[in-house]
Amino acid sequence: MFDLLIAGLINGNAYALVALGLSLVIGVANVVNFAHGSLFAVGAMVGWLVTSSLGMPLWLGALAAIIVTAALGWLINLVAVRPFAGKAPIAAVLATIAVMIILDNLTQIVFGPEVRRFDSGLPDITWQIGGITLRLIDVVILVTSVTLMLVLAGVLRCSKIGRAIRATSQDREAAAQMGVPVARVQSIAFMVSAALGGLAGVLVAAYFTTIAPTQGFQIGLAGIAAAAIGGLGSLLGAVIGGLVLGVAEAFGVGLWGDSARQLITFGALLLVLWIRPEGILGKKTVRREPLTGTFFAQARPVVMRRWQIAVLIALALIPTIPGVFDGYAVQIGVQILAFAMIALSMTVIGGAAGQLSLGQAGPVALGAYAAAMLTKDAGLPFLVAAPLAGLVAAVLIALLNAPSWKLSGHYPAIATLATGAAISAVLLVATPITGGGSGIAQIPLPDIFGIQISSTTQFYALGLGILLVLILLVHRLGRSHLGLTWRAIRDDEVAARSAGIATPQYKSLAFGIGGFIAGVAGAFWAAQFGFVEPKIFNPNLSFQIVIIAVLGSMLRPFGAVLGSIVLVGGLEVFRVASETRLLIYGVVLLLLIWFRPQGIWTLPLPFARLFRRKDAGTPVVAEQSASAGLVGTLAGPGTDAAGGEGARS
Amino acid sequence: MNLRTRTLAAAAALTATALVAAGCASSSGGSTDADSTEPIVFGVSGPLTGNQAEYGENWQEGFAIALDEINGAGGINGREVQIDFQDSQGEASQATTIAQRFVSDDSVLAVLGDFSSATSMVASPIYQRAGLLQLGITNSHPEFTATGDYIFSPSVTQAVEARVIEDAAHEIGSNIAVFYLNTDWGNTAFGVLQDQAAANGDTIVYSSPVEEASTDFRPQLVQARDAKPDVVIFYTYYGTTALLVQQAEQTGLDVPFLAVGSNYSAEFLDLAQDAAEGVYVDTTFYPESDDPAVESFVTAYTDEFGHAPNLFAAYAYDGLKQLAWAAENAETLDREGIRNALRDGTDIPSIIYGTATYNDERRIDSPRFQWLVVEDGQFVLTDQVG
Repeated sequence: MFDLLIAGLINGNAYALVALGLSLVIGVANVVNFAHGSLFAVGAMVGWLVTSSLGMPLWLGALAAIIVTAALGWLINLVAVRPFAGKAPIAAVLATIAVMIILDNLTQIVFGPEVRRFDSGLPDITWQIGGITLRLIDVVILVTSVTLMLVLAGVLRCSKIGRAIRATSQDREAAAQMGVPVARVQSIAFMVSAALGGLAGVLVAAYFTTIAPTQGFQIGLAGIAAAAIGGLGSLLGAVIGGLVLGVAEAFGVGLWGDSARQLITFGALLLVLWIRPEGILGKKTVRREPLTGTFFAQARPVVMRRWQIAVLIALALIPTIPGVFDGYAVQIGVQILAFAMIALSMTVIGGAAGQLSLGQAGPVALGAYAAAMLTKDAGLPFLVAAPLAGLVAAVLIALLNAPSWKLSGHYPAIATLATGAAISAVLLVATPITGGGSGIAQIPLPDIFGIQISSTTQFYALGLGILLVLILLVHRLGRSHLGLTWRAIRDDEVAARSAGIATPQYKSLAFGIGGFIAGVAGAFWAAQFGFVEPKIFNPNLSFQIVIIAVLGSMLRPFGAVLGSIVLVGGLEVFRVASETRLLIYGVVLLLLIWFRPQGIWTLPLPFARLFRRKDAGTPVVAEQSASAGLVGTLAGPGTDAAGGEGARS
Repeated sequence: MNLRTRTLAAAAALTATALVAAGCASSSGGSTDADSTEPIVFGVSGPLTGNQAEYGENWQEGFAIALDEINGAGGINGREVQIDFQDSQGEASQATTIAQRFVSDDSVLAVLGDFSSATSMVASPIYQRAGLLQLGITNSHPEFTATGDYIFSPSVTQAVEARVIEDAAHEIGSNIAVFYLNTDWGNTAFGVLQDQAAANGDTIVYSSPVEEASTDFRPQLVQARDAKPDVVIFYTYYGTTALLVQQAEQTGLDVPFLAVGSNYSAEFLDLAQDAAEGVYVDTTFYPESDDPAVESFVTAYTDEFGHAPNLFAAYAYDGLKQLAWAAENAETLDREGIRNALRDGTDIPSIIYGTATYNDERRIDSPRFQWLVVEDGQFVLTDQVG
């Protein structure tokens, strides 16, 4: 027991350092920086270069890592956070995910992907505590992080810049009015936060003695979990959250094995959020949710006429004619269809109800596994199993998300991230039912009215059929009374609630229906690959889904299709540039977020205005008056604190 | 044309271009005439990015040496041999797309890969249906070649290797702890280990699946230590094994360690350093062998990359050389001809097995194992395990 506690505290110490940086930025800029784990990896690799490769002492490696990552932190703020100040936070969330993709792949290209030895160069001194051997590096890490935390606390408490940082995170607008240069404070906070991440990278690499550029992603997620457990924005909370998580993991992994790690990380996070929605030390404040406010009001979806839809369907049917495209092109078509279906679920959750899901891989996994078991073990035909799989996903996801409705600010999105990750973690652990890490193989090929679907072209036709049915469903829902209610919640939740709408129930319904669509998509996925394993449905897939949905536009079902064509099809076009493929993808993503944050399938605001004058009564106006009709003419979307940005800088 | 239709037209054009571009990318099929001077192309589906990227890099290095050798000697009947390496990220969804790409590309005569059995097996039906040889060079899953008569693997199956390892553990003691990778590879092997332990009358006192992405194993090692095993088996790749043996030392787990053959690599020694001392590893490939083919491979490899080849690099080299051998001995130089040559060939040159012959299950018959132990930072041959 004592050994496990020590092991947990040492590991938790690393989480604490990572969470500390994350929480600092959340407090000042109200942005969850998903690229923080990448900074950790960059720091570790720079540290490796200086110490192990050039043979310099550890402190010099740490210093180099701090300088490089601080510069990167400044850059991230410049390209991925500041441009979106005053706009919907979702843009900054996506932008930091894009930066994460860019940094992770850049680090891999520069340093090579292999695991390597990290030599701390410290003398070989050890102490015995219980059955555990403590090395000098363990003590160095402990002392460094405690010192750092004390220094940080001191600076925040006593120095001028510390006061400015605290003032900015308390009330950004008021701070700006009192003469605090909030823009500069934000820059500094980003640099300090990034440096903390980079330093953590060096220390953790020295602790484990090995490091690979791919290790940043995992620890970044654990850091977000730790920060949320402690209370977003609270620095002491971040430290406590990190230690709590480290100890919980040590005991859980010791008892149930390594595969339970992810389940413990995200299970602990969900438990804390359910019991104490603002984290252990967080303050109860109402913050904007990522998709609320002016995000959708600024965009106007493209509306299609019937003949235009007919032309598109006819175009989509071309690949079903044998011999027009080769198998490779049709296979990409199948991938595009699969991702379009999944992204379509976000049209309901995000576009209709204004909720952000960062864990949509979860219901996809539930649907895929349910369909795999229903067709393989229960022998049901695909056409029966697919809707059942959708139902399973819908019910489970609505139940799992239900306790999250009292959350606000970043917490609902983080809760969905945790739910998604926890689902794939449960699939990994429940070996007797799900096959654990081996997954389920040899899922039977679907049998549609006596025709066995086996060729790529047949799968394309099946996928297209399913997609069209789902699109029709989403379209119909959008025009129903339910759709109207969702839009009211999306455009102004407070107003909707005061108009008597039971917002939690309606949100649950949106997640349930979104879960159904994702579940059916998962069933198609399972049938098409013939194989499912938990790793497929990791948070990376969830991020990809959000990216496709937002950049295609969540306002119209076709946005999901277009997003999938551009981002899934586009990725294949880059296949020529093998190793830089994902790097290019990340850059394109960042540019898209810069120039078309509301999605490709929308008209930018100036055009939309132009349109409205000429052509009154277009659906956009109808849409706005719909919510207005329901909730009365309350004040428009509230201006965010960040609106005061730059007034003094 | 108003704005609405213009946007629509643009979207339609985009759709069409994306599809056409995707179609064009692979439609440039090469000729396979006997007197052609076009290069002979083999496809490779393997991880160049993602968690398994470094094993893909091992492959690339092995392939590079094989290509140098083959093309340095004038290629096959004067035709240059090329590989088309596509990055699968080690993911099943990517492997199927790549499989479709190779199948559609007439110039690809055979395919090597993917790295893990699970990823390869998802792509196998596509290769089988198209009649394109898939040589799963590192695919040790017992069921891997069962998909059909175009699916081959030179890799030793876990059913064979796990039994060899358990037998060796039995020589040391009857209380055994096992750490195995929570993948299809590790789980299958663990099943075999359990059966063999039961057959030998051994007890598995502690076992834990481990994840490839994890770095802290102290909690499980503490539990394993308290279960008092006589010997620990690591069924993990070298990146994970290196962490395990180091942290085992720190948690005071001090018994003989047996590690599966994939740990036989310079990287393992480099990563684990002192903690690697005394670890036993089984292998089919031994670079110190006095076989001239092995010597020339190891020399060329070490000269080129500055470190000794590991098992993955050796499998990559061997696999490509086998395909080149099949192309040279094929009656017709097409997909079926190459498959037939590999199926019917006897005593195909191999640096791993000396010579290789594929049996009815498209596997190598009764491979020979040797045990190595780490001494003074080197792998040395040993007769005595424990």
